[in-house]
Amino acid sequence: MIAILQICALTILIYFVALSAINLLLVCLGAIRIRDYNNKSTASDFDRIVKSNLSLPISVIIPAHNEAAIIIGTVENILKLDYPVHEVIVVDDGSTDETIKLLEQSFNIQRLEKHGASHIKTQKVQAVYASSDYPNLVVIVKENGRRADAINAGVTLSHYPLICIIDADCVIEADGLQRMARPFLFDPNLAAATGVVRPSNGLVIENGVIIKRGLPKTWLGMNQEIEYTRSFQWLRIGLNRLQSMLSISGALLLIKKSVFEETGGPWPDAITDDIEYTIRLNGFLFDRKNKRDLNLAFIPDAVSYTEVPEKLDLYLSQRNRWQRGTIQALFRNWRMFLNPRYGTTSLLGMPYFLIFEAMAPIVEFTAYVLAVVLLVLGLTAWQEILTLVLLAYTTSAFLTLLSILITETSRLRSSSWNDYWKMILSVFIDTLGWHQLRVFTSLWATIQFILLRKRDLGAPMTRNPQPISSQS
Amino acid sequence: MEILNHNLLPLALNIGLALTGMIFLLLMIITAVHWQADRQQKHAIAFDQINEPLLMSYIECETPKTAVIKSMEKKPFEAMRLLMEFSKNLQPTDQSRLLPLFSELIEVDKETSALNSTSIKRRLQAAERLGHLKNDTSADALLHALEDEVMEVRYCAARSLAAHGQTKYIEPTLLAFDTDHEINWLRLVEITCDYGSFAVPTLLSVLENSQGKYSNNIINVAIRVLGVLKETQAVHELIRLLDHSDFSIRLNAARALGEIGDPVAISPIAELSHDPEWAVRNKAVEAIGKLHAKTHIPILTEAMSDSSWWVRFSAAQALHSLGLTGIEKLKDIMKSTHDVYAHDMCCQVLGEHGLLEITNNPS
Repeated sequence: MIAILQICALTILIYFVALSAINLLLVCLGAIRIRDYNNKSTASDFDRIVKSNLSLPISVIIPAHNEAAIIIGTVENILKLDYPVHEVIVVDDGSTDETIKLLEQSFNIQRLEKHGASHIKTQKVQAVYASSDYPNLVVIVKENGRRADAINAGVTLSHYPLICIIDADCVIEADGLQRMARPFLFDPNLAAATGVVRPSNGLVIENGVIIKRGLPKTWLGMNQEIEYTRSFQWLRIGLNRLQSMLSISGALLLIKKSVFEETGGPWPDAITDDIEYTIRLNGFLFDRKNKRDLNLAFIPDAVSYTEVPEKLDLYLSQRNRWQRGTIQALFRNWRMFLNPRYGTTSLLGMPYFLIFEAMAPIVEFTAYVLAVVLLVLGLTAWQEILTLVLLAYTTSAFLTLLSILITETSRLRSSSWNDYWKMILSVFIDTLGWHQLRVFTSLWATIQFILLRKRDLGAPMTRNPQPISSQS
Repeated sequence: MEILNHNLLPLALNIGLALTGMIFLLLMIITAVHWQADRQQKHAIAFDQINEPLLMSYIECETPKTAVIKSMEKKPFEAMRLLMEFSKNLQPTDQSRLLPLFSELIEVDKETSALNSTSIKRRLQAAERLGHLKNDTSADALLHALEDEVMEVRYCAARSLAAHGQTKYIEPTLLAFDTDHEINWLRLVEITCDYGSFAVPTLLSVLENSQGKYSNNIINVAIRVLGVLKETQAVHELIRLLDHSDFSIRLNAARALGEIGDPVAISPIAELSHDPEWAVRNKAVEAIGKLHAKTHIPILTEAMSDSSWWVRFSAAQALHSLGLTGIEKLKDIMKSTHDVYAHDMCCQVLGEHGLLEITNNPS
């Protein structure tokens, strides 16, 4: 019995050391990548993209289901993006609220006949509307089929070679599309790109234009601000460098239409279609049988803001869904696991995603239980547990501070000293409770997925129309 | 039993304590970085507030050059940033007024040697700055930079050469970017368009390609530029290229002829409507629409039953662009055709343009 406990303890210790070492490596890779990126871009690149008639036109797809509270602000924001040619396609995925009515009132949309050329099957499109005030705005009304199905329907009716997919609650920086599109101008093999996603809860927006950047007001919001910073300023950039970025946020993806169609688009039955699609997309891009040498880029200065839940029940529901979605995506793409055909994606990315993302809650919960058991049985001293807790806490804080350092050296740095100190304080608070709450929620989600076979999308997000919508 | 053995426990404790120390150190560094960035931002704002009005009055000939230089030379980095920002928002005639300021503030030798720097950032910066100095020394350095290993530096050098405005740099620029990728052609088209109509003689000689000197990639770029510039002098040469064996050249020639809009090209383009490549047929149909070739409605009607969705779509759009006659034709096709694809396309395009009866209210 003691031997088993000892093996468990050692395994967890090795897991922790390996995770910390990998994270440190990812921070370093992320920092190098950002430095390289900044070295190669000049302000005149973006001026040229804005002024050129030859910039690649982009179709922005906004799937929306019961988003009446925020949809107008989002569409206004996307229509005003500083990009020479882009169309906005809002896909109303069977909303039962006033989404369409509001769009009609605000943008003067009228019904028309329109069909697309894509072969991706979707739920039935009931109507297509175009705006007489905004020639580049199209609204599709279709039967409900989840977010992925709405995206596929939007792509079917898109005109342009680049597709940008965002969520209905997203707000993009005015130069976001320029920054996303720029790498496509230099790298013909680039198939898709994503950028930084941050919480929008502290933004002040007027008529679709961001006029002030700030941080969420609640500690729960701040906790997610830290989490997003950590995830986007080190993890994804570093993983992207290793062709192992297996999670692209649904809040910002720019992809060539041809690649989107070849991959068949996101899977409508996925719990988190963005995670599942990213894994499949990686499989397509890095499949050695294809021999196409395609790339996936992370753009460290293209920013999309998304609303994060500031109510505990919604937050827990969201995390529950993400965890179930991660496990589902891994199960669905199990063939990519340790399969040399997909290169480092399968040899490094998939094991990392499985062990350090999907299984993390199980391992961490086991560690807590084990610590208590060992203490109760008198098999370890409290000083030893305290030392390990100190080690875990300092490692986490150190790595998070490194990602704050990366942020502070970029244009995404805190806009005031107040925000700066709030961020720093949040780094130290994150590991004292919030993190454990995430662990327990994810563990429960794992049990629900595997044992209770729960596949639904959980509670819908309640949107806060202030201060995003100019209509409010 | 212990999780860590006796030797590892003190080690873990020491690592934890070391990390605590590093956290404090990191905190100080981050705070310093934030403070520095804050300070820089404030200084930049203050610098701009003083010097922007000075530049405005210099442009309006109210302030002498020496006064502007004296005010700006204390902070050369800020000065260059402001000058380049300021220059962007000016008309070309006013931009040339800034040339003496650039000449005073940019050290040619320093920037020329920076083109050989190991730092990509510095090379890019130098290539950008040298574009503002319109002299032979900077042009020679930029021509050399066209061979840089980093694509971004090469593009920046090409843009700076275009800013010099001398057509003798067009050919070396085209030759420096001879690639198969259409995306790179587009960047090159943009840069070559910066030369404006002065580029036409060089581009026409590329199309003639008398000694087989240029690859199809370069010819494609030249065709695209001539189309964007709507250069009528190129029409006959472009018509000749409609028979080229390379489909990309046929496609781009049809596109360029459509953009130029000379009716002489209508019949030769119409012949491409039976090209084996759908992309070429599509461009031919688009061009017929752009040329308002009402005499070729039968060709567009035939294209409405093409196997490619895009050709059908372009044909319907082309018919619509012909005005009442084309719209009537679309309605006729919609009513009489047995081809379900042609019927759907007519509905779509008429609907898009609000010419189909609206049956439902959105709400």
